[in-house]
Amino acid sequence: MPGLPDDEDRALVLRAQDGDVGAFEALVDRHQGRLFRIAYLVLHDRMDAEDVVQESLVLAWKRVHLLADPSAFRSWVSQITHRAAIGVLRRAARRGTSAAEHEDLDRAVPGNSVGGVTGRNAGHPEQSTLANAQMEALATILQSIDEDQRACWVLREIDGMSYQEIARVVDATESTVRGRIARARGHILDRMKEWR
Amino acid sequence: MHDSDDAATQRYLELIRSVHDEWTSLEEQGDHSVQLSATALSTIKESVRADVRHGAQVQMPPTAAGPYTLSELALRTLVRRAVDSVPGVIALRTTVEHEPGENGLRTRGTPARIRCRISAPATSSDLLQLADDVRAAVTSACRDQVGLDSTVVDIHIEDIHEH
Repeated sequence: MPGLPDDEDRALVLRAQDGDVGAFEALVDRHQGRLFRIAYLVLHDRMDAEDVVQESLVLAWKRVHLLADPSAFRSWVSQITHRAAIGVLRRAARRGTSAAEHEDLDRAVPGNSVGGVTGRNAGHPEQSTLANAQMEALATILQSIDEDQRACWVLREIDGMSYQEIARVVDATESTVRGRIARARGHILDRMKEWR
Repeated sequence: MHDSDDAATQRYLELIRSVHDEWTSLEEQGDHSVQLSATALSTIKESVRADVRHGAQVQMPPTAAGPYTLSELALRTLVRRAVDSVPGVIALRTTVEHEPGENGLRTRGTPARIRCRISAPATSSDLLQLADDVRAAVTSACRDQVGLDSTVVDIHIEDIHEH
């Protein structure tokens, strides 16, 4: 599409609402990595995270005409992804299985670990291992946190949402969200002390 | 005690920063391990395109050979391309008002009014002329390509863009 600024979600959303598949595909390309990050840290399972993001983006296409404020696409699609991820966790809990019998990021892509051949750590395996270890340590700690606290923490610390936005996404009050994030932080800090 | 708390907080902040930096960097470089696989991306895009093909139909003015319909998507694409054909202009969302339909829920009536929301270039010195150019482009595309010659075309300049 001609001359559209890179940071212009709004125009892409309006065009997608008009049925422009190319505009929606551009939105998919812009947001998929961010949504995958949210889903992976909530679920700690690459395949589940991929399924959740895939389903969420197809659902977003079917409902994009209902989005009254095109500028709100970012938090709107995060909300869809968050709900889908929480749905996976709850279904797994009902079945009595763990959604976190996880597949690490690097195991899902044979021969291309985090910081692998295309990463900036290519040729620096010690840095790659460190980065991977940090990500996996964080993802593992998150699994020991209550799912509502975990989701709020991920939206705040990983996705950078405001408390107000998170409250809307998780359908809770802002003070509830602040409380959940504070408890998640405390828990992570406690677990980090055990690393020593 | 305070010192150890401060150190723990510092480590926490460093961990978050480090995970952010690393993940963002890998994603920017197209590393497959931190984003959707090519297969998943392709499945999303195929699902979207398949969904589009099942959209509503729009009744068009009958031709000498008989009545015909056009998909709503095709009509929107035609209008969008006409708007985009005016130099510097970006089509946003178009709204179509239809005459009452006659062939069931999946078929809308003939378009009576088309409202185009557009983004105009900041370099444009005459927005009224620009709106007239867009209206002329849409009117002409509708008339020449699908035989719509009495549809009213409204232009609404919603945004101004720099680039």
